[in-house]
Amino acid sequence: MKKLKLIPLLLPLFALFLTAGCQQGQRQEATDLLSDSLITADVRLDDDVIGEMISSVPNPVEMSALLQKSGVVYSQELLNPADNVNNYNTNFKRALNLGVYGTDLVYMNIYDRTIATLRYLSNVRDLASDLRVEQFFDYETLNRLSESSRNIDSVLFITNTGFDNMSRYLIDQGRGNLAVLISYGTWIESLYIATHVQTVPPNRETINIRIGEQKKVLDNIILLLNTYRQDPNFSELIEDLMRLKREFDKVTITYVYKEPTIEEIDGMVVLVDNSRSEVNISDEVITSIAEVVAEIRNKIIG
Amino acid sequence: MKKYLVLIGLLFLTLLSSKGFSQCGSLLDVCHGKLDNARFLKSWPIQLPEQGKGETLPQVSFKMPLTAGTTYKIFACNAEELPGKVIISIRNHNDDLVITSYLVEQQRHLPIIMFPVGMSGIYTFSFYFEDGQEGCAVGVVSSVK
Repeated sequence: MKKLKLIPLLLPLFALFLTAGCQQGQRQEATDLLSDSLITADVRLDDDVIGEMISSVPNPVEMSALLQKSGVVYSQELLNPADNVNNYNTNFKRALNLGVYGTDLVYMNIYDRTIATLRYLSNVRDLASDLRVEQFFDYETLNRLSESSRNIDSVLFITNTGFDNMSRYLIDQGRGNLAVLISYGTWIESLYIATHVQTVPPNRETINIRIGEQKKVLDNIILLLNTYRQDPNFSELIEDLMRLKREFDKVTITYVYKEPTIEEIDGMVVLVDNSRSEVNISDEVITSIAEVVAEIRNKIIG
Repeated sequence: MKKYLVLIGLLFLTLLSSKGFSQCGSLLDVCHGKLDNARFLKSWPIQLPEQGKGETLPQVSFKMPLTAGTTYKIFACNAEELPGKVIISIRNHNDDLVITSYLVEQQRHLPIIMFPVGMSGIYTFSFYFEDGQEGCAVGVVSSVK
């Protein structure tokens, strides 16, 4: 009888053990995928450096927002067709296209195509599930929020934090190679959309400058991929990017640094950046960059 | 009976010790409300120990690209259960200090930094706590629509 009275007291303890058991289970599943990691790579960046470099890959929200702000018309044809998800049967392809679909999702949200996002959201869930990282996306909430265009900011917030947390987790679990591929997928898709949208001057110029600025990002991405270059799939990606780099080498970027000043505007402290960067990129270079990007991206989504 | 009480005691201790960390982790949900007219881009959880005697100031840094022509709204939220008040400092690709969220001369913390960027590039965001106190916070970068 005495023991029965203790049961309610011991239940929370039991629950705690169960929770700990679940967490252990997740870790175990994750390590099952270690075969995807190229641990033997001879040029290996430290995990912290990989995380930092992934963080320096631009968020697709910024490019999509610029396109929308520049009056670029939405184009569904530019996106990776949703049905392609069935073709991705290796973790290499899944990771790359998880990034690609992630960018497409952001693009659709920025343009208020909330209903159309449901299919893409489901693709992101499936690919994340195949890679055993689905725990970073609250799909039920995202599905519900996607029903109204008033919730776009919340959808973007959940998607962004989900991708960030997933990336950190993959690196912690020794699967940094997948984090790098996802990040690369988001970037190349973003660049593909930017180089293929139809627009007119002066908006075209603004977009071209943004494309030219990707020169620095490209260098970082090549460095990241180089960490896993012993994997033939990665070395093929690097070869493709070296072709792209040859085109980006024709872009010049100059910087002029001037001390910033602080002003108080409407009670808010605003830092006025007096420094300037200037991007020089010709129409011919843009055309050749667009061609190489299309080849690379179509290979990824094929 | 004594054995069970010890077990229950241990359970509560475990829950209490994890409380600080879990609240630190959920800070982003609270901080999300400060976005207003801005679009969320990036967040970093920051948890640092108290600076020990003779030790360098604990801090963490992250990199992120910022684009000319965009106004960024940068802010952080502190966990109330720890004493540290977070300070953000931002450096450009050339390692020039662009701004910190603590104005030394005025001894004033800026709750929000509005940063209309003139020079595109990869910037370094460093976070540390005032007077090297122990603290936990979340740093957020967003872009004004």
